[in-house]
Amino acid sequence: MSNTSENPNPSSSSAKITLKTSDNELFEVEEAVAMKFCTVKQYFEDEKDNDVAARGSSTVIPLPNVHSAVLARLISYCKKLPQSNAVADNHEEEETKKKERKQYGTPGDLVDLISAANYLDFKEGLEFFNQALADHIQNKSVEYVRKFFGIKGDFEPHEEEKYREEYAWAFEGVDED
Amino acid sequence: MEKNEKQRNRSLSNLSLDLIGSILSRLPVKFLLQLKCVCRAWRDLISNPKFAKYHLKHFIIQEKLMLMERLCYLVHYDRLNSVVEELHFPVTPSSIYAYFNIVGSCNESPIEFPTHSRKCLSTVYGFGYDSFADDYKLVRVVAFATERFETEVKLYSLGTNSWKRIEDFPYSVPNKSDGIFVNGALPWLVYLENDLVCPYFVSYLDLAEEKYGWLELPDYESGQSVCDIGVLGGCLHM
Repeated sequence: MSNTSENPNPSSSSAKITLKTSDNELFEVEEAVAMKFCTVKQYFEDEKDNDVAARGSSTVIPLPNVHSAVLARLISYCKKLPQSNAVADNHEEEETKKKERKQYGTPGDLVDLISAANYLDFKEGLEFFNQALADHIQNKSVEYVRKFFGIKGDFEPHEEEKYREEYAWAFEGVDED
Repeated sequence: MEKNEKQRNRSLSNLSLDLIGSILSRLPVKFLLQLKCVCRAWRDLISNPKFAKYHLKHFIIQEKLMLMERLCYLVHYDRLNSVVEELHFPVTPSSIYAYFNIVGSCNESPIEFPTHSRKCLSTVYGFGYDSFADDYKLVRVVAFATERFETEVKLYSLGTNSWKRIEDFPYSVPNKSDGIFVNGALPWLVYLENDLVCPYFVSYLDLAEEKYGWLELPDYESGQSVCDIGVLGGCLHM
């Protein structure tokens, strides 16, 4: 696949970088894609400085915290990245974006993607998947959110009751679970 | 199912509080107020001024506090259509601090509005964030019913939790355009009765400097009698 037209740095469009995941899978990735992951970028630049990688594409960058299944999805997300994080201009666009975010699977899948994006220091991806997870709890009840995140409420019942009374207006209009 | 499922980190309870913070920062204020009672750790997280700052980055454009005659509304704007999409909840003045609380204050008392002795003609408010001082400021312009259109402007700083009087509004009474906040400034539309050609312009208060400035509006047909300003995509429009 030719990527030259979109590549901000055409001279390096053909360069490939090999990433090795936690389950020992090797991924050959275009440099432009790999450089979106700041952790990889940093590693790559350090290697360059050390001149260890003087022989070009032979470097293998280990990613001990990222599973191959997750990396594959991150890479495919990267490839269609362009404007996915731009603020939606209207309601319709927001709905389209929501649908797009939904395609990234269950909350469990999103946790994988978020953890990996965080480890890779992949900012745009992190924001996107954070929003995708936030979509799942938007407007849900406190009980739902606790269950969703596996959290046990640790307020004394009277404390919580007092808070709910004080902020009763904030608890109106919650969706049915 | 993938065979290496176990090596992976699928449970939501494994997310660090840092990551939880960035997920929650995508949610609107009213909902965050509910989430403060999920558990103590979340309450502390959401009440943290750092979180508020981060949250604000996503929301300053979409959400704003609107004050009308001592009632307070949180309004969501559909940005392109620039209409009020949802009028979320009218709350009493004492709850204003609830919003303040979530955007970064530890104030435990509602804001007391200062009183004024003379007969007032109209009151307009503005509310915004001064990124220079990292402070939220609420401004009240009171126009008195005197012949010379005298005004009194008071500014409430969340940081100091107090009101102070600042320079009077330099022009005639600003038109009602509460709640507009752009680029660190509160703009108001001003109408000059004795200027028949271009009666409208915008006067703004720079929240960091606490000084006024003004903007000429682009050319518009003379004789146009209705004009309004608003915020679109982070910019002022008329």
